Amino acid sequence: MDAFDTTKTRKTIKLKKKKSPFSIRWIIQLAMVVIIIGGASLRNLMPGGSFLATLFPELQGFCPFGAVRSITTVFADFSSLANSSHSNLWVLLGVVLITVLFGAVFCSTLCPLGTIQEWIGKLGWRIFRKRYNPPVPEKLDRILSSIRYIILLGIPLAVIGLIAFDIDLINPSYALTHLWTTAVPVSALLVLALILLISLRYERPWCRWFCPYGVIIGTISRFSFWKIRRNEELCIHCGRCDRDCHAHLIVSKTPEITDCHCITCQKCVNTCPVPGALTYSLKGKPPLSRFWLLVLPLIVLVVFLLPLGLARIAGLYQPAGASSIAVVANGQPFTAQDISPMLSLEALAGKMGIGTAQLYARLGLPENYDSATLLIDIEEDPDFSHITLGFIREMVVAQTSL
Amino acid sequence: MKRIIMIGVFLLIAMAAAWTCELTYTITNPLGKTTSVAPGKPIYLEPNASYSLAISFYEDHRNCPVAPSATLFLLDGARWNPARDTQPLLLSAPITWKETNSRLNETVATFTTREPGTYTLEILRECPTKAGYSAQLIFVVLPPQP
Repeated sequence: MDAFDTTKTRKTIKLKKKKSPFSIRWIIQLAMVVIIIGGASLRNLMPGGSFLATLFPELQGFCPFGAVRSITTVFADFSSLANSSHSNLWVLLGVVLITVLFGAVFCSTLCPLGTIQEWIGKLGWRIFRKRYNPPVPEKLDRILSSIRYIILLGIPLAVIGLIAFDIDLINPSYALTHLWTTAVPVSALLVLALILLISLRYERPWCRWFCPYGVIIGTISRFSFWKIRRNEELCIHCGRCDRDCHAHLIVSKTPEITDCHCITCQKCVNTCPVPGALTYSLKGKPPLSRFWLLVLPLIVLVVFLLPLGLARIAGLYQPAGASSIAVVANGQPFTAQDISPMLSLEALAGKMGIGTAQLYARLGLPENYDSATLLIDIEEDPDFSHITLGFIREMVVAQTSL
Repeated sequence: MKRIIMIGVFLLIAMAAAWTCELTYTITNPLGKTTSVAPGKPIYLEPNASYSLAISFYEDHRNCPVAPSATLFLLDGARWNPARDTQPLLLSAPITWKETNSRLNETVATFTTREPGTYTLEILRECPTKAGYSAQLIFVVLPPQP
């Protein structure tokens, strides 16, 4: 404030209605909806190993219930076993990282359920205009907000088996990503439909009242480096920030936003008419420039994917269908994992690029042997009990390494 | 400094989470001592002794329609089968799963060790729409103590 006369600024500032600066947040939101919901739909609808489905990473930790469940599993059983084909824990690490750095940006930028609520909310705004997202009576708000704490407490109890309740019965995120399958309980679909319906009238109801993951993210975001900060000397207490906050937080009376309902959407920052009065910044540092604010959602995405990418490079995470042991059969890429016990003899010959007769000769099977027989079933035949999956794998590896 | 420690703690917690999964294994020795078994880490067993391997299978999202009973157990590449009396870890009875609750299935495989050596038990779940599950438990049967 040294070279800045506050009184002058207050007098000379023109309180024009501010146009929101361009942000690529919506592009990232759209991309995440396509990756998560599109990818899940492809995996559910297409046969296993489909090339199209493999283009979409399986980011399991996006499910709020699943994330809380993963956290509980860690605390319940530290010595439980590695399953490097699961990404949820790397996703969780990414979420923790971006939250510590940037606040609850996961909710505002990456969560597909949040994005869909936001889009429906835009439709709701067109319908209700100024009557959209009215404040909820304080008592009701408190009761509704407590639901997410009950869910947060319920998931660990269900994981450790203290309560017998299938949490996916009420999981809207699960319903959203598995919409095309028959596995989704009707109750979860109803919860999803209800949430989306309420989104027409109230902004992000799931995030505000029900999301257990939001509680964890909100708590971590209290310690975040970047925060929405208010400069008391510049603030003119016009209340625009309060009116624009989806969660009806009283931004105009707080030096920095630490409320766990804040999702760092920055609507309040964008709507503030006084430059520098409300900023998204590091403590004691100048606010981010327009360029950095513009690319921030992209930075968030990169930082979020960093743990998953590093785990992939280090071999700690193997996406579905991938294998680190690669051999070559007749010039064709072929992995040891491809020799699945559920492969038929015909399929194995096809993968190896040889005829079934040639494969039979190598395995010592008669020419008239049924080529539809699964590899795991060959040993069931008393005459060929020595042709186990291990035997077949050894033969294939020996042949391909010649 | 406080923040750096906080970040470190959060990162450690999240990193630790990378070593979890839905199938957990515990082994009980003839004296009744129970130890957790981690895939890829050798478990040392006494020869000619009876052990119980308890497996609990938690269905995370029920993405895989394959029943727990279709889980494959391959000992050194061959089905782990009580009928195969030549197997180095002799299974005493077929593996049958019990549904403890709607998501949790459990089983106990009782087996007897024989010759000293290193044996791999591969646990596989082949799902039509998913990558399924695969883990390898390594059992090392020690030579008899003089």
